[in-house]
Amino acid sequence: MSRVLLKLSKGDEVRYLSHLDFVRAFELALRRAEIPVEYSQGFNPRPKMSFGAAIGVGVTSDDERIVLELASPMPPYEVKERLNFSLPGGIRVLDAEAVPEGVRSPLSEVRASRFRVDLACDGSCDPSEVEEAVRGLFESDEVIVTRTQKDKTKDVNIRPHLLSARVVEFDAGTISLEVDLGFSDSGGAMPRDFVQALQRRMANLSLKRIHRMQQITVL
Amino acid sequence: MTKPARYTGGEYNAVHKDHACVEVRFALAFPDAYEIGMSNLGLRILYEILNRRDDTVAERVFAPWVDMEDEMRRAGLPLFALESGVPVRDFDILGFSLGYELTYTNVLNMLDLAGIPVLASERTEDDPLVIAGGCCAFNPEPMSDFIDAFVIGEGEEVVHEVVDAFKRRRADGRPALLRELGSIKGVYVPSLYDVSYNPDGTVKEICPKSPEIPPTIKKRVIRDLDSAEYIESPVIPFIETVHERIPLEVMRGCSRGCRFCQAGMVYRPVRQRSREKLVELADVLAANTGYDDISLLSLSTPDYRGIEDLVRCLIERYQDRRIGISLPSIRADAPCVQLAAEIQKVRKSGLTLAPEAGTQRMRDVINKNVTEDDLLAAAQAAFRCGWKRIKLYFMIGLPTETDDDLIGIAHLARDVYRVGRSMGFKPTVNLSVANFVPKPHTPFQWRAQDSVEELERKQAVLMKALRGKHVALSWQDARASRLEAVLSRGDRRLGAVILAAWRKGCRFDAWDEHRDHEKWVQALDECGLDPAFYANRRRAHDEVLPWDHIDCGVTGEYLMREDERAGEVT
Repeated sequence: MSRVLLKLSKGDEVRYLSHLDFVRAFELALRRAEIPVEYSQGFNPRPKMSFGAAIGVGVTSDDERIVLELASPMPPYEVKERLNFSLPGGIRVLDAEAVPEGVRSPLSEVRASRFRVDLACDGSCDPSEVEEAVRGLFESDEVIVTRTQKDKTKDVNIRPHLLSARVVEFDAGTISLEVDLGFSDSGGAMPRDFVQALQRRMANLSLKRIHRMQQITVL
Repeated sequence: MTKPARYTGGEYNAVHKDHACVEVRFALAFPDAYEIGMSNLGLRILYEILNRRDDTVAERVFAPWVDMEDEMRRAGLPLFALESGVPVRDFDILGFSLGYELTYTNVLNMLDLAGIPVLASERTEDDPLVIAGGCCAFNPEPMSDFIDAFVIGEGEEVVHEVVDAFKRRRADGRPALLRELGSIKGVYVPSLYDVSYNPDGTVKEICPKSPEIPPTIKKRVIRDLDSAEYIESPVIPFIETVHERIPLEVMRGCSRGCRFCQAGMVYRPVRQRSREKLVELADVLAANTGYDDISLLSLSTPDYRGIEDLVRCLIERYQDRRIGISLPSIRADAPCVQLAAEIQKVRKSGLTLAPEAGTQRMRDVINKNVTEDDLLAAAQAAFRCGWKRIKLYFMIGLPTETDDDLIGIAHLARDVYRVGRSMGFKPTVNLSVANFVPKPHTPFQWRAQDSVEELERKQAVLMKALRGKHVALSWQDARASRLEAVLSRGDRRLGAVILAAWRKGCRFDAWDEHRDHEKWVQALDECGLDPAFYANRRRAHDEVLPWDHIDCGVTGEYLMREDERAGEVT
C-alpha cells in the first residue's frame, strides 16, 4: 500500500466552502483525475483518504493536508499534476510527497496551526493597544470564550491552547496578527475563539479575515 | 448568512468569458434558490449550448435567499451574475426558467433587485430583453405583464434563433426586436396580442394586434434527440444540491396518457436517444464530472425501448470505474422493481412507487394503468430485493373522487405494509399525498379543483382511515395547491394580482416557511378577482381558455374526448 501526503491551498474563490463541500470537491477531482485511490470495503465503498483538522467557513489556507491511500503506485508529482488539472479554481495541490511505509500518518503528528488573523479597528486604535491586549491574554490563567452550537452555548477555557500571538502588520485601520493555536485530544482553540477573547478586551475590533499559514508538528 | 457559497460561483466547469469579446450577454435566471436551480436540466443545457457560441456569453443567476436579499438591499447591491459578478441589468438578454407557478413572485423580486422595471411596458432600450420558458410557459398569460417574450416548448434550437434575431434587430429599437421575435416559431410576445373578456369574466378572444402576427403559437419540438445539443461539461456545484449525479436524458415525451399530467401531454411525441449516443454522452459526462452515478432520466424511463439492454450495457461499461446506474422513476409493477433492484446494488434510499389513486375506479378515471395486483407484486418484489422502505405517492381531490376512493388509499397502503409483514419483517411505508391541481393542456384542464375546505376534509378522512395502519402520512397545504391552481389556469388579469402580492412582500411562495397566504388573499381581493373562478369552477368545453392560442400539439378534440371518457361525478 502506498500513501501520498498532499498539501493544498484553499484560496479566496473557495473560502466560503464548508469542510464537507471541500471534501466533496476534492473527491470529484480525484475521480476526474483518475487517481488510483484505494476504496473501502462494504456496501458503500468510499475512497480511502484522511483530512487534517478542518478550518471554518470563510477561512483561506496555504496548508490543508490530505493523506491518500493508493491502490496502485503513482509518483507523487504525477498525483499533484493530475489533481491540479482537475481541481476547481482556488484549490491547488502545492506539494505532494510519498509517505514511507510503516510510519504513522503524518496527520497525527500535527499539534498546532499558525493563522494570520486580520482585524479591522473601529475608531482610533494603536498597535500597542492590541499588543497590550494580547499580552493580557497570555498573562491570564484562564481565557474563557463562549461557543455557540445550534441553540446551545458553552463556556470554554482556551488558555491551554494559546501558544503564541504577535502583531505583524498595522496598516490603515487593519491589524494583522500571527497566531499559533494548538489542539490535542483534550480540545483546541479555533481562530474565532482567539478573536472573541481579544474582542472581550477591545470591543472596537472586528474580524476581517482568517488565513491558515501552516500546520505545525510539535515534537 | 446561510450558505454563502450560493453566491460566489467559481464552480468546476463554470464558463468565464470576457464580456468585451462577445456580442450577446445572456443571463440565465432561475427564480428559486441556487441548489434547486442547479438541479434543473433545461437550464444546464441552455447554459452549455449558449456558451458554445463564440458570440455569446451565458451566466447564471438565482434567487438570493431572504437573508442575502436583505443584505443586498441594505448595501444597495444590485442582482449580479455568478460568473462575472456583473449586474444583471447590464446583460442583453435575461431568460427565466419557469417550472413552478409558486416561483412567480421571485421573478418580480429578481427583476426588482436587478434594477429592471418589473413591468415589461415600463422597460426602455437600456434594459435587458426579458424572456421566459419552461413548462409554465404553456400558459404564459398570468406572467405576460412581466415578460417581453416567451419561448414555448423545447429550447435547444429556438434559443439560437432568439440570439440571432436579437443580433439582427438590437439596433432597431425594442418594438422592431419584439416583432422580429414574434415571427419566430414557438415565440410568444404577449404585447402583440389583445385579450378581451365576456361579461361573466371568461375570456372572449385572444387575437394578434396586426395581421402578420400568427394567431396561434406552435410549441417547439426537437425532432431528433441524437443530433440535439446536450450537456457535456456541466457545472459542478460546491454545495450539496438535490441531484449529485450524471443526468442522462434517455427519452422525451411519454405515451402513457395520464389525464392529470401536463408534462405527459405537452412534451409529446415520444423520442428516444439511441443507445450509441447515450454511451457516448455518458463517457464524456463521467470524465468531465467525476460523479459516481448515472441517472437515466425521462418522464417514464422503464418505457424506453430496449431499457434492459441499455442498462446492462452501461453497467458493464462502468462497473470497473465504480459508477452506478439508477432509475429515478419506477413504474409500480414487479418487472420494473426487479430491473431497479438489478442495477441498484445498494438500497440507499427507499423505493418510490406512484399508484396515484386508491381504487381501480379512480385509476381508470385518471387513466393510470396500474392495478392493485401490480402494486402489491411490485411491493413484494421490492421487499424481496432488500428494500425496507417504500414511499407511495397519491393524489387526492381528483375528478369524481368519493370518500371510498380515499379509504381505498388507506387500504392499499395497509396491504403494502401487510406484504412486508407476511415476509417476516416490519417495513416502513410512507404515504405522500398531493392535492390535484388541474393543469392547462391536459384532459382535466376544464375540471374544478376541490375547495380548500373540501381538500382539508379529505385529508382528515384519509388521516382517520390510516389510524393504526402503521403508515406515515405527509401532505401538502391545501391553500398552496389552490394558489397553484389559480396561477396555472389564470388569465392576463392575474398579472395585477402577482404584482400586488409581490408588493406586499410575497416571495419564495413554494417554501412553506415563507408563503404568506393572507397576502395573496388580499391581493386577489384588491384586484377584484375570485380565486374560485379560476380554481374551483367546472369550465365548459366551448369556453375560450386563456391558453387557447398556445398550440402544444395535442388537439382540443383529443383532450375533450379524454375528459369525457373520465366521466362525471355521479
